[in-house]
Amino acid sequence: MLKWIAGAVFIAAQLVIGCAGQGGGYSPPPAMPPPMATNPPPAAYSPPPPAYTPPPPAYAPPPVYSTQPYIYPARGQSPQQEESDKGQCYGWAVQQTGFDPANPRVAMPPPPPGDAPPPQQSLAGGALEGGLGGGALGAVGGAIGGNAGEGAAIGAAVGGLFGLMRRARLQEEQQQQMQQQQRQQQAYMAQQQNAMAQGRANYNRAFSACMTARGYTVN
Amino acid sequence: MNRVVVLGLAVLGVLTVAAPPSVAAAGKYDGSASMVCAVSSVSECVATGRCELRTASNVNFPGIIRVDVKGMKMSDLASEKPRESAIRNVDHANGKVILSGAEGERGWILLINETSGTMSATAAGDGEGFVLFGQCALP
Repeated sequence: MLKWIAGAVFIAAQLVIGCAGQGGGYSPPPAMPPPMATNPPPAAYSPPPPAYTPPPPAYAPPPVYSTQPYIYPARGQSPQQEESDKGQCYGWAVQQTGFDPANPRVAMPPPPPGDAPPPQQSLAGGALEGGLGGGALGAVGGAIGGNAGEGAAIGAAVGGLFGLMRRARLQEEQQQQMQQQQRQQQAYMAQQQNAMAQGRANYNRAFSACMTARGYTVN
Repeated sequence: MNRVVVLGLAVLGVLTVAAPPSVAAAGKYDGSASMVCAVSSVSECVATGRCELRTASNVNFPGIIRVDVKGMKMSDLASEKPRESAIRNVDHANGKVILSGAEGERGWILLINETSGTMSATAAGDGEGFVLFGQCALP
């Protein structure tokens, strides 16, 4: 009886081992073919051609370009040779495009002035000018009346009624000017970002061309 | 007796006719007491000749001011921020009290009808001007 049970257990164990291994027995068909059977060898791999990348829209954030494209030594170059080629292609691409990814700068005109006060403000008799001018005039008036200090205090410390008047149209013009400056600054920033992205794209193209010519597959 | 009465009436008539007109036209808004004036309309003008109707707050002018002719100053009553203007000159002409002064880059004139208390004011700047109208009252 004990031998019979041991024999049954042995047979069951053999069946399990037989299913797991390749030796024989039943083996279910694979859901997918083995990857090595369909993939070409690494040396014969050719990446798909690069797709055309349209320029980014005016106000979109700059696309993130990889500063180091994928490079494969198709001719079996050594890592040392690859680093040497990368360095030479880097210099060549910078020279050709004028864009250095290590120091990304683009030639742009100076930004529009944003913090300069509107020129009309000096004509409006603003609060500061009203206070200063009021102080001077108050001092003059006080001096005429025999008390320059009191007159200056009245004119400067509290601000005049008429001296602090502001033209409503001037305020509207100042608001419009501020809005226009903001729009100009936004446009300038977008233009700068676009120029930066364009320079980086040009550099990547030049670098890829150089590395491809040296026997690398670049993507 | 009748001659004396007639002579007295004649003298009174002569005195009445010869009295200074300013004394005869002096009203309660002559500046002897401080006044409170409310601005009712404001016009803003530019050098091209165009004027536009504004409000006092539009042009940063207080809506209510105190005019203290004896103290030679005007002050803002509607705002918590103290704003005062020193009156440089006071004139009386034809029943109007005329105040004037200068602040910053502007000169101003404020005229009050001594009888009715109506107020008119102008402030002139470089290429700009304001015309204000209002009504004064005795507090």
